[in-house]
Amino acid sequence: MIDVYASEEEQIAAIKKWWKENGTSIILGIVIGTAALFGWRYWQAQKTAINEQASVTYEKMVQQLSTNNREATALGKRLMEEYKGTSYAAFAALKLASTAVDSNEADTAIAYLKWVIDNGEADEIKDLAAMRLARVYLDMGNADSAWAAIKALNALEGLASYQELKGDVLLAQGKKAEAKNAYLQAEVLDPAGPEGNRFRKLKLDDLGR
Amino acid sequence: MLQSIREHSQGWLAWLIVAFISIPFALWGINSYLSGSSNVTVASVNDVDITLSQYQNALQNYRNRLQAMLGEGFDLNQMDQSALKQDVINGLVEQQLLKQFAHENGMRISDSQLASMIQSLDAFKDKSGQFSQAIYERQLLRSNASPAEFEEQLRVDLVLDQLRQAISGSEFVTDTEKNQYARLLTQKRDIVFVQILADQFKDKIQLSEDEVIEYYKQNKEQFKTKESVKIKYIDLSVDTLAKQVDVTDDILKEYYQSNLDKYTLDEKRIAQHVLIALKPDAKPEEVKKASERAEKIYKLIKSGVEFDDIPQNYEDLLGPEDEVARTGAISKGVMDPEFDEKLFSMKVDDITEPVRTKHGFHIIKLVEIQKAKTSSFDEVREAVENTYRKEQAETKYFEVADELQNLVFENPDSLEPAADALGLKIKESGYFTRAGGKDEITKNPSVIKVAFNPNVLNGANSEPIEISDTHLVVLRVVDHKPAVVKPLGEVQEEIKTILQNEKAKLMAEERGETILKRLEAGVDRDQVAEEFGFEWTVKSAVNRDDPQVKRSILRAAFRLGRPEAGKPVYDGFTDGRYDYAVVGVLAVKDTNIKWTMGDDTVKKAIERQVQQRNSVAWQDFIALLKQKADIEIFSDAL
Repeated sequence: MIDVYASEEEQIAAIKKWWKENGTSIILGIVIGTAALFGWRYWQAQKTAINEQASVTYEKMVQQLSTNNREATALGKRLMEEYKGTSYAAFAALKLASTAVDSNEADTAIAYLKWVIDNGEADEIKDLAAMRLARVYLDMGNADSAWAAIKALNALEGLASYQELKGDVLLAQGKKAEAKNAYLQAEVLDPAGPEGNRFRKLKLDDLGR
Repeated sequence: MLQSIREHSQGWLAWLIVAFISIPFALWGINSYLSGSSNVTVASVNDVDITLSQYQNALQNYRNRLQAMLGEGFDLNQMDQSALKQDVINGLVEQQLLKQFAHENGMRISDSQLASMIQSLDAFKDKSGQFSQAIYERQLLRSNASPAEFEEQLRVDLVLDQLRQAISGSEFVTDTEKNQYARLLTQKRDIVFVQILADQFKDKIQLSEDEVIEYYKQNKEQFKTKESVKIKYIDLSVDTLAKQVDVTDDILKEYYQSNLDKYTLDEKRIAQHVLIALKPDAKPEEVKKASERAEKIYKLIKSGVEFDDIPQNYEDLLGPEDEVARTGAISKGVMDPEFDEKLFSMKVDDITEPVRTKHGFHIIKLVEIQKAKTSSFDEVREAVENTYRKEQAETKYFEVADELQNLVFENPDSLEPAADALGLKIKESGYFTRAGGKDEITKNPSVIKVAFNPNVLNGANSEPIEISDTHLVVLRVVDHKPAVVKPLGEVQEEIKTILQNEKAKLMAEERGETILKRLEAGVDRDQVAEEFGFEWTVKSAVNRDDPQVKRSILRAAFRLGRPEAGKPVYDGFTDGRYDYAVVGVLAVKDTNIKWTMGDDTVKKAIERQVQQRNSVAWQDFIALLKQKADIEIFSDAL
């Protein structure tokens, strides 16, 4: 600040003038800023509240799964409808798919897994769901649908379990040599070592080393 | 201008400016106050840092857990430290990745979920199994965490549990997979095999002198003796010093006199008593009632009623807390002061009026006095001598140890001056290697380490080695036998055996491979057997763990693939160290069982497969997160 003003009166006059020119925009800025801040925080709080409700509902569903399947299914469906955007909706669908497989309802399992692939948020979860979907197709004897479900999952190329699944699908399609290659690839990639998975080892042994 | 600022600093504008300026100060850097001060970064995960102090905490926890798992005796330093560190840092990175995933995907634990979790933890429950706020706060205080910190940590743990449960707990194994596994496990095969033993070729093997010499030259390391040393040492301990302490009867008597209390048994008294129990905070009317009951009992005893009869005959006078008992032999100062004073001022068979102590009212009868007894010098002479020697040795020990250290340092080429000056003996050990010798001294790891220290090997005295707080050793090496290659004459036979085995192995292998080639060329296997003079062992329908067939043969037979169009498949392999085996599969017999029909082995294997699938799902999920993340680990900072 340079002391250019001769007297205090002039100084005050200058400040008043400046305020007259800029005052409105400053106040407006502060108001908008504050409103935006509170609005954002309100929105965050809403989101947290919804997530928490979804979390509670999901826990309830998991508890019910072992005792009351019907109630659990109802809770799961509610999550998938009312809390569609939350991860808990996807988790619920995965759980229900698993239950469906255990009670031999392959079609139901497929519907749930497809729901995760179509509506899920996280790619990792969707990709894992796709692998499961392929395995249910294999369970139904539908090797071609299984192949369609997993052939484009490039992000999974580095997983031993993905290569093993490829081997399973190829074997089901009667492509023995290609299946063997996929199993061998799985052995190389497995962090637990080539013999880390006995089932896979037997499958490969049976094809001949 | 400063003048004018000061004059106007009272106005509203000034306050406004100050307020604006203070906002950044108020908020800036709060993070670093909250998250601790260590700023050294050991890893970063998507731009979130993991600090050195977090890493060190995690490492310590991991080590504690390992130690608890492996037992106190296990030395963690034997483990590969860099692998240990890698495990810890990987764990932290994964934890951070999962936390970020949970956060980005809006995973939350509500306050009520958190509260019910805390209330269900055993650590915070009181004896009746109820959650106790007081215990909760005390436990947190003990582990140095504020409730806010603890609850935040627990929230994170719970969210990660939820995530893990959702991913690994929703994995499944389909019926098709279980059945396929069951069928593979129960598959049977018709097999033939022959073992070609190396032994049969041994007597045909000619070994030349040159071959033996050549092998000796090429493999000298194999025939080295182990480095060993022989040491002289001075062994200084309180025990050895104790033996050297000069002792005369006069000295011992004096010691005995000045420590008489050590050889004296106090007077002890045995009493019978009745206690009318009172809580320390008893109200006046309760005290009065108790006092009246005590008075009644006192009168009964005075009138000749035995203590032992009171509980039976005068039950109504005693409350549930009251007792009638005979004490053990009590020394002075053991009981409550009021009780004590009475007990040690009464005569045998006296009975006191009720005495008030903090426990209530006592009525005491003295039964017996065991008089104080001092042992005579002659009775305890040996004990006196031992104690005296030990005490003297202990006071001398550090002085002698100091002097020993100086003397061996001043005369680095010999132990004798020190031994002579201090009257200590020089002992000599036998030869021992780095693995240690046979006696206590040469088995001691510190002694071994020092004995093989280069300076000591070069002939210098060692520094004093502390074996324990009251025991040290100084040593020098008398003789050092470095590792040498044994002369050819000593190892000739050994080499011959080795070469014979190797050659026999090659011959077995050659024979086996020739057989294999003939078989693969389509020659009938019985004809091959005749040609080479052996017989096939034929086993039909063996399973994977058939006890009648050697495991290595079974393993080879079950990884051979399937014979096609009735054409057997064959394989050969080195079996054991020197032998060779040829195995053929004639037919594969698939079972057609459903997994539910399998026996226990099958069911267990499937159960394991299910568990493995669950954990692989979780590992896969983490691997996918890692693949996408930006992770840097600064190994140098670990």
